[in-house]
Amino acid sequence: MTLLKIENLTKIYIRGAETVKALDSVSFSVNNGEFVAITGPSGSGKTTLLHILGCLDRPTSGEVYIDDKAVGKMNDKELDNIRRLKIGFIFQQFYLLPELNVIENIKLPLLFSGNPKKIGEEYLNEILDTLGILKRKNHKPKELSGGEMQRVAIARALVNKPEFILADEPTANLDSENSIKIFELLKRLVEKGITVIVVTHNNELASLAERRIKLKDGRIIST
Amino acid sequence: MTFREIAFKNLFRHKVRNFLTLLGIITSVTVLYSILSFNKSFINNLNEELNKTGVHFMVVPAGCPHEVASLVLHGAVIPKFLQTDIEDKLKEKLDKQYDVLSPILVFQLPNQEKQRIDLIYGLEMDNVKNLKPWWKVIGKTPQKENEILIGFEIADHDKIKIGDKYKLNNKEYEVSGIIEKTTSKDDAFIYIPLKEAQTILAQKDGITAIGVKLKNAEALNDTIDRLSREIPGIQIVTINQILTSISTLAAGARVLSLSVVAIAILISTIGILNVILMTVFERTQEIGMMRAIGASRAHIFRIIIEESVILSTLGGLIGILLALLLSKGIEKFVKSFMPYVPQGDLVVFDLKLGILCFFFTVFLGLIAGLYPAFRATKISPIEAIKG
Ligand SMILES: Nc1ncnc2c1ncn2[C@@H]1O[C@H](COP(=O)(O)OP(=O)(O)OP(=O)(O)O)[C@@H](O)[C@H]1O
Ligand SMILES: [Mg+2]
Repeated sequence: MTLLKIENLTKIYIRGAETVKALDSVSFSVNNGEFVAITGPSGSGKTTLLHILGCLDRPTSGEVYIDDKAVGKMNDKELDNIRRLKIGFIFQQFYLLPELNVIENIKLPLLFSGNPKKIGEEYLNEILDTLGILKRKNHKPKELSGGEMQRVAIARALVNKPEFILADEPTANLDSENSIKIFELLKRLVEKGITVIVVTHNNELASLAERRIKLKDGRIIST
Repeated sequence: MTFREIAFKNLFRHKVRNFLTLLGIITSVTVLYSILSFNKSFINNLNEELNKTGVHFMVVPAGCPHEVASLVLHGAVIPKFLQTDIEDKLKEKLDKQYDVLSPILVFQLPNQEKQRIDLIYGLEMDNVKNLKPWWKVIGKTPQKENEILIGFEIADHDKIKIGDKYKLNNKEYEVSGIIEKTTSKDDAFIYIPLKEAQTILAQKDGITAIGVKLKNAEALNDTIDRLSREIPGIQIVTINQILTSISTLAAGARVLSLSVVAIAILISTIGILNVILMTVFERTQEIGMMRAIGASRAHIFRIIIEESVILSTLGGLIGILLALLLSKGIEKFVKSFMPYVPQGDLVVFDLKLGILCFFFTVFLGLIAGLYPAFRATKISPIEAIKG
């Protein structure tokens, strides 16, 4: 079943007199349960594409359909709800709140969503266990290693039981051993039925995904 | 976990910065509460005290500045005497229509032995209960011409007990009574029989002022008019005028001090605004992240405004508590500036006033947080979290 349908997506940035075409008529679809890696050289539009898929930014033209619903027609409130309940974000910089401990950081999205899916301690412990950070539950971020911090961030992305995960270079700040671990974790999420779309520079890691979309100068050169 | 908890925990990220801001708020609130409470009790106590005084008006020398004339009841030392015949003239004009007619003589007397200046208040001892009905005298009011009454401060300082001797101008007097603490200027005086005071000063009929209570209070205005017309060289100050002019003095001091507090409060409010705005700027990326993972603009607004409300709530609470804790010290300090101080505690716990000051502070915190919170809602998640 199709989860995401992207049609003729174009994004033009205007910088003074100059215009930059970050995305140029990009079209593709992603099915439920797919593991997609988006690769391409720096400046090719990967982050721009991910932001539009994540309902953080709007395209100049074209449309994104999530579960057959056009994102362009949604208001701010509907977009907030999509971000809360359908999408899990993972960032290159982790962005954990330093004063909150691991479990509090992970529960943060529940505060914003109001926890409509009634997620309880049991599920929280399950993801912590899966990610190998159960023992770190009450630690502050500064007491964790980079790999652990990113696993906390993944747990945070999973807490609202999203349909898909968007990750922008989640391993850029990690060594290769930890990077592979993170990709293996993402793979296990896919096995559980979650769709994962991950941006990476690293070809070796990208080959761990089932499918690869290559971008260059805002265009898809292979899917 | 709640928005408040997040805001609260975040305040610990910059302990020193936020603590200093808090200190600013606490100081302003402490001073604000003290001044407001002080003024309220000041007027109340003053009213009460003057109402208890058993005289209707004071006769003082003409040409004495009005404010100073108002203070004679409380032992202001004025460098002028009533003419010697005034007391007789007054008695004649009043024609027995008075209950109390109490001449007093107030002056400063160098004390060689103790290397200081004593404040002497001469009066007819029978009139003590009329002029100062609130006094509690330990021992007894002087009955003989060599007996004196001592204010609390002097007794306390010199460790004087009843029956001790006290030397004034080389003559020994016996302390027959000590006045219990009034916390007013009365505490600093030595009270001696009028005749003795006049002897010491070598002013046989010298009088600073005369306190008068009429038989019929309704005749007050007419009597004052008549006396002023018929006896030259005098000035008559009623208890009401005393009250008004002291209140005016106090109100002037209050306006001045309140404007200083207003500035302090303004500065500490800007202080809150400043630190909260700083955290918003520093946390641009975090706020962007929170937006990305589902926080609405309203959520972000709340997290930020809570921080400034927590700061101002803490500041308000601690400030008022501190004002109560330090009330004795603050009172002493302020009293040293006041020309006339009624007896009793002047910084007292006033629940209504405390609540008012507290909510005022919280309200200011809310105001100070508005702009930073608004700025935070304008942070775009994409700009903040660029990979
Ligand atoms: N806010 C913006 N204003 C103007 N131009 C922008 C903006 N954001 C991105 N661009 C431009 O759009 C193009 C695509 O940028 P994007 O960040 O999507 O690339 P990327 O593939 O993620 O690169 P990298 O691998 O370096 O992260 C680049 O040329 C970039 O300079
Ligand atoms: Mg990028």
